[in-house]
Amino acid sequence: MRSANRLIVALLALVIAGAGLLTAAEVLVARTSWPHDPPLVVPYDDWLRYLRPHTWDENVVRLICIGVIVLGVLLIVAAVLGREHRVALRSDSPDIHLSTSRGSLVRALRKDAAKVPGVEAASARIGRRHATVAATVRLADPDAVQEQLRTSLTERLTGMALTTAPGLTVRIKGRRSS
Amino acid sequence: MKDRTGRWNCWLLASIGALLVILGAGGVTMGARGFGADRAGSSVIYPRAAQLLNREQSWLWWVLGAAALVIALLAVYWLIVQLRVGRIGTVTLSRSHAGDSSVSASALAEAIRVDALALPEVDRAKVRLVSHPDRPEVLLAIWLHEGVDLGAVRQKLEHDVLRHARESLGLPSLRTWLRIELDAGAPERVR
Repeated sequence: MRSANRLIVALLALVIAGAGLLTAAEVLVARTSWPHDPPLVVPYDDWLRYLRPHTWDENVVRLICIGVIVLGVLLIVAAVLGREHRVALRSDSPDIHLSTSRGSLVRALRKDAAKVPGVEAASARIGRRHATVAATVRLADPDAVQEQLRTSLTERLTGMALTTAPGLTVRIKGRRSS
Repeated sequence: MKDRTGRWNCWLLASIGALLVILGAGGVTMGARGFGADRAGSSVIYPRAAQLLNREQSWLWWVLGAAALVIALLAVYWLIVQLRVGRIGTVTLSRSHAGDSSVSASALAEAIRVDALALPEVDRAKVRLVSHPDRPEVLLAIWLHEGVDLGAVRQKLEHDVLRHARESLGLPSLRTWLRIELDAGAPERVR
């Protein structure tokens, strides 16, 4: 998605650069009539003549406005999907910048949780400051499994050497939470 | 986390998107008589603006032209940033009057990759050398096997693989952006 965003941004930059340069050139020509009488390239008088009779309450104008809204929403969606959540890890050297992805941490916590005896299924989510692991427990004492999960996952998070260690919440699904 | 361009792209896309939504919503509201029936029935070309620009404040044209030029230059810069890969072809080992000594960046990247893959905990590795031939920077992406002790691997990568690369280049320091993916496997949906 980030490559797609790069392409979208490159196209937008190209369009904005072209429009900006044309506008600046047209202003120069319109004010100085140099190197020849205006317009330079854009027949803006024709465009203005065409647009002047159109009013805001016309359906075609509304449809264009709705199209602009849809385009804006699509760009916002692309921006949101293109975000990459990185988590910084501690390093022994100032020249080495270590990081891992939030998705990677989630995967590791979920798999570790699933390995604890008594856990039938597990899910995890991690935010900026907090990690939450939810486990479904069958045929085992939920309190004991919860304690074991907390110990095991805390050890795992500590071993990851995150620059900001997240708080951990372990939930036993369908039974009780802490 | 060397991805400033990616982050700026997200902000830029979101900002332009928000601007378009505001403009579009303004137009729809205007057409739906949200600003009064007179406005809804008025031309999409605002006559007062044309008057202001043409007769009363002709200097505004120059301001508009200058603003358009600045925006265009910023857009050109941003376009160049998107096209810039940053990958370097060679790494300079030494410079002298007799001549420069350099090594192929791809050969060096491959050597680092092989070193990293030699660690039993590493499943996959990708290496790229970027920045400048005199001051190379390493982008190293590592995928680890399931259940690996991250702390131990980190130490090995820092103290063996990257130290080896730094020493072979004869550099006192080698800036490295090390991205580690834990428990490599098929991509999963993050919940």
